[in-house]
Amino acid sequence: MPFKPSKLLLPTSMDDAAEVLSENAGHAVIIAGGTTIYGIKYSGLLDHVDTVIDLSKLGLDYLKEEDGIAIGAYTTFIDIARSSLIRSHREFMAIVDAIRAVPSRQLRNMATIGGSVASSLPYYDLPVALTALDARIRIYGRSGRKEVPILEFLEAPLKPKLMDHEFVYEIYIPFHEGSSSAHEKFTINDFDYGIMTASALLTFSRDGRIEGGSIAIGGGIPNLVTLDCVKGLRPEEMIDEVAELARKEVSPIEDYKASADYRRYLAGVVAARALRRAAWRYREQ
Amino acid sequence: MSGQVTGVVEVKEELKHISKEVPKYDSPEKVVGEARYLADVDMPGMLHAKILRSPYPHARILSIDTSKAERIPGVVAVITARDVKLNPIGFMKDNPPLKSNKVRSVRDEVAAVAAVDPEIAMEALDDIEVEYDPLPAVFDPLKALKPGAPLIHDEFGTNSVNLDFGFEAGDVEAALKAADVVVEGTYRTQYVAANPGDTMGALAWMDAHGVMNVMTNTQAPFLYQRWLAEALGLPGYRVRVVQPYIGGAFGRSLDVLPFDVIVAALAMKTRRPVKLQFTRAEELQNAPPKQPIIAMVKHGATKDGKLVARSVDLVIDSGPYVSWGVFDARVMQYTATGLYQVPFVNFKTKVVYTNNPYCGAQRSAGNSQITFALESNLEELAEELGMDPVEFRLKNANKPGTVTSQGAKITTCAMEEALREAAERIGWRGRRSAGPDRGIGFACYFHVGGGARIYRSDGCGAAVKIDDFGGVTVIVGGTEYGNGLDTSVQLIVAEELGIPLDRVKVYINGDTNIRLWDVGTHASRGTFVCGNAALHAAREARRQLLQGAAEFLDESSDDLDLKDGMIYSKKNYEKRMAYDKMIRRMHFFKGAKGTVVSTSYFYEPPSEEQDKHGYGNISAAYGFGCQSALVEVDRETGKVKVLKVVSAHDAGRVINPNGFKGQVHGGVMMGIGLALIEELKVSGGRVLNGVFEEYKMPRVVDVPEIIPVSVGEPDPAGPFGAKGMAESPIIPMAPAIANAIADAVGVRLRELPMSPERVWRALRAISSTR
Amino acid sequence: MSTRISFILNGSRVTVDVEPWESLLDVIRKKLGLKGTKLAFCRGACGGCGACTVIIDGRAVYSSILPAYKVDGRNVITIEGLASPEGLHPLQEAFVEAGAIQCGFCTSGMLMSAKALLDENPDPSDDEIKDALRGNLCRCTGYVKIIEAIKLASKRMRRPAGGG
Repeated sequence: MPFKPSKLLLPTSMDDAAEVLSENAGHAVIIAGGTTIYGIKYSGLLDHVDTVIDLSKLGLDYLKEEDGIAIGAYTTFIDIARSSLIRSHREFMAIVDAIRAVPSRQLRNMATIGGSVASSLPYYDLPVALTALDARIRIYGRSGRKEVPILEFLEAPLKPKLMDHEFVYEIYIPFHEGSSSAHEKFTINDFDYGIMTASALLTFSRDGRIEGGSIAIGGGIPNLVTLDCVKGLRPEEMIDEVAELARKEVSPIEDYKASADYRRYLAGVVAARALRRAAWRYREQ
Repeated sequence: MSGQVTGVVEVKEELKHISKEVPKYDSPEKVVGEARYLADVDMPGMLHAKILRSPYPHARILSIDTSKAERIPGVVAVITARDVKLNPIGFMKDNPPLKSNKVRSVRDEVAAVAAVDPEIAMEALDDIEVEYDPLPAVFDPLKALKPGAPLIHDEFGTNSVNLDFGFEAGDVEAALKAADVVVEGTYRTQYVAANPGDTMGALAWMDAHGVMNVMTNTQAPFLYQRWLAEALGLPGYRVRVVQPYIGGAFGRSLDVLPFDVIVAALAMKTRRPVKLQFTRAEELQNAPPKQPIIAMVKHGATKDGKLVARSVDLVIDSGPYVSWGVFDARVMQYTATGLYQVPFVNFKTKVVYTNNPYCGAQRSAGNSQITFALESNLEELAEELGMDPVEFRLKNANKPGTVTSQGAKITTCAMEEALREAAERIGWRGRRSAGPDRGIGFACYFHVGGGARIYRSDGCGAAVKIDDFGGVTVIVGGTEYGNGLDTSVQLIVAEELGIPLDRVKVYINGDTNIRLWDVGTHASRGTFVCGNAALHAAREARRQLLQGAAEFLDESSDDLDLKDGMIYSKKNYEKRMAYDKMIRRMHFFKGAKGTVVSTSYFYEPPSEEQDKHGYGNISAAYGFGCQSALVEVDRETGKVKVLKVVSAHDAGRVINPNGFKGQVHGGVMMGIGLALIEELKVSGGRVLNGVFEEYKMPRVVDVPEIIPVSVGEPDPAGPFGAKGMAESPIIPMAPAIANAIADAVGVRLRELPMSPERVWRALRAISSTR
Repeated sequence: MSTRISFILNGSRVTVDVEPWESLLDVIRKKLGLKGTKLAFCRGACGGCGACTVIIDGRAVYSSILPAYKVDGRNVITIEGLASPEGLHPLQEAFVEAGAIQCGFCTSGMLMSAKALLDENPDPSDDEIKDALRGNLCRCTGYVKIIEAIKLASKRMRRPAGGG
């Protein structure tokens, strides 16, 4: 039987949500913007599902400042990319880049940040940017709230680290003083998942040297990879090294779009380009 | 009236409608969402069909059990080859619509279900139990020719298809030996999906008269009528074909495919309307793609750059059945002998059965593939000679008043002008001068522009009737699927009659019972052939109108004219009457004869079928042109961006400039896709990227600056001087881009698509040898 | 278990029962009989063709991958709601005039994307127009005349009423 759920549940409180998740464990799926679920509706992956749980009545559509930015799980890409809370911080520009890399206005209007991270797909753009920015995934469940680093949360494709009764309600991104970020995506055509992608966050000291930061790599690999930036160098001094390291760290897949070789090579290209652009952004903006 | 028409079409000095920018005829209904495509049409009691296809590329069918599927609630009928007698289809009649003993590709149809809902039909397929005995399969056409290769059709004893498209003009071997320079290369092209918005489908129902009615988005309704009748064993007059609005086709809808026959068979069996329309995944997996080729090309030239000989050795993978795709070879043959002036040509083909998907015709029907091979090789030759690519091409350009070695009579031809325009407008200043990582490339083309006689008749019928209010309906046999034939016909008829454009209604698509025969809208023939039919039908209507008016205006009809809707005496303008008033007079005036103007005309272009040696002038006119491309190559990733394209065409007089530009923009973009990204990746006979998102096509961000240019003179045989051009812009696009990449970064790509990875690998190969 | 939803469709309130898995596109086309929004048979595996684009509360979305129940209480505009009793929308006029239509299959979706753009940005740059069309596919026109048509409509819509 293909995906044809007969039940729709719209819980109205966080506890209620945890409760219905628990009650329907094993045959329910949470739907946010719906773009991922519809995409895999005939893939067989959802054939066990007879219940759709929609959390849109929980008021999870917001961005707020709290020593960083907290974004409600049901906030759409477009609202995030347009938010002045995001755009006024150079260090968050990787998020804007990643959303712009989503090739269609319609998808940006529909897709949500919670759906994007909870899909746990390495070729989605936004989770890569959030990983570079050291985001935390805030989860609610029967035992209350908890917070998990994003990389830990993105356990395996389509399998985030969530218990049956848990759901993502918020994504928290810390401020990174003196930093800037950028996201790079390599595609075959515009409407494409990243063949390889990378987000860079760079923190600078006053003299323009790198004090810290990280590069996250996604795309055609089974799991995201992160690289730490070397302290004390200028960005241009570490580009070759970063590209080299990126190529060493990834284990790319091979498919009809690109060979593993080419993907490995591209990992270096996108990592270097993300780094270069983040550095440029720091100087110019 | 019918017959061949030759001689100069009289062109009035002052054209009122022709060559004016007018909206496309059917855009008002499309812009409000009222145009109904196949997907938008339902009938009461309609069933939905789905087809069970083979999971194996090659296997014997041992048994089929449909009993479980038949018991599913909502399933109305299940058919297999056992239950219905259907005749094989295709050019060689080698493709049974439902396979009984053997399957030869993963597309092969084994059973079909009609159910009340498409989802139920799809689920029922899972409950049809088929036992197969898998056989060794062969996917490489060269391996398929080797002794011991698995036989696709056991009864033929060989995988070599009994079709020879060879042509030989002169002793090519000797000419190549005598040439100062010879350059050879092997070029490969890929499977490309037409993938228009509107997927393939058909809605069939038997009516109370025992007539099989089919609504379909075919491009060739009259051949469809014939072929479907043959497959079903019905007389042709008991098949009626109706076309709704069609959302793109690009050549892939010229065959009757097994699904068409299956839908009709289910309608016969259930006596209910049955519809099948491909899902997107089915479209990508099962609709016939563009025919890939392997072409070994050799050119020989004198040291001052004059071409002396060309040899083309072609391998065509037919898949398991012979389709229109294989007949692309005839177009390729014509280009091989026709593109540039080459005295000696040898064109050889091997057509091979394999377990791959079979192909169909697609925009230019082979010409885009062979032109990639020829124009790439010619560029390599020009480089070898150290000659400027434009100068080299000018030196060998086709010229008016010449006849190709295969008998193509070239009347009008402005290839030289096209080359000069393409060079000047792209800013050509010689090789390696486009800037860092940038390059410019050129390619020309030769294509049919006055129909293409690949079928015994290449004609089209048109009828014109004028109602009592001056409304003119023109009924044409041709098909509209976005190509703009509706608008060309409207312009031609309004111009010829001398009446306002909005009085002319065009009946296109619709019903084969009403329209006159047309071979199908393909080969850029609509404006030329159907336009000529409409022109002559309108001319006769005008004659009848003026003859009737002569009586009322007391003037000889020779002295009457009709302009801007007014019939008047050329000698005395006082003698005049609005044409619609005159129409009423002729019909109703007391004592008048009661004349109603209605005419029809069947236009058969003055072309010839090829003789058994392949010789013959298959088109009444030929199109020529040149495209130049400016590209930028990302050396780091291999990704190519096309920045600017100049697209210069000799299409005779451009009678519908909006349509001309639209075809150029669309053809250039499709050509960019063909050149750089588009490919159905087929492995083990199966399409790997058969999901919408995975089939890569150019999108809005890829649009370069595109400059459409019209060159040349009105063609004497074309309606108001027009020649066909709808396919032209895709033909030279891939080689122009390949040549531009070579100019930019010094690598030569001989295989399409020139994907980022291929370019990157080529760049790596030269950097490692440096 | 179907859910009764009620929403504004092209200016009028409609109430309809929908299943949890039903897409808005299916509801619009099958249950409400409006066939102007096109179905490209992607079955949810979105190829970004945009033929199914409609506008919800001012934003363009893909109706083929949007569960219908989500439009409860919202305002939906389809191609059928673009013209007014006074006549065609300037975008529709511009698409006809500029020659932005060939086979017409993408036209409804293109117009919806264009309307959503101009409603929030009356004077878009070429790049902004292209960005708004990144989620729509056209196989015939090469996009050139679609972009021209949107520019033409934008120009006309910004002209003050009654002005030259």
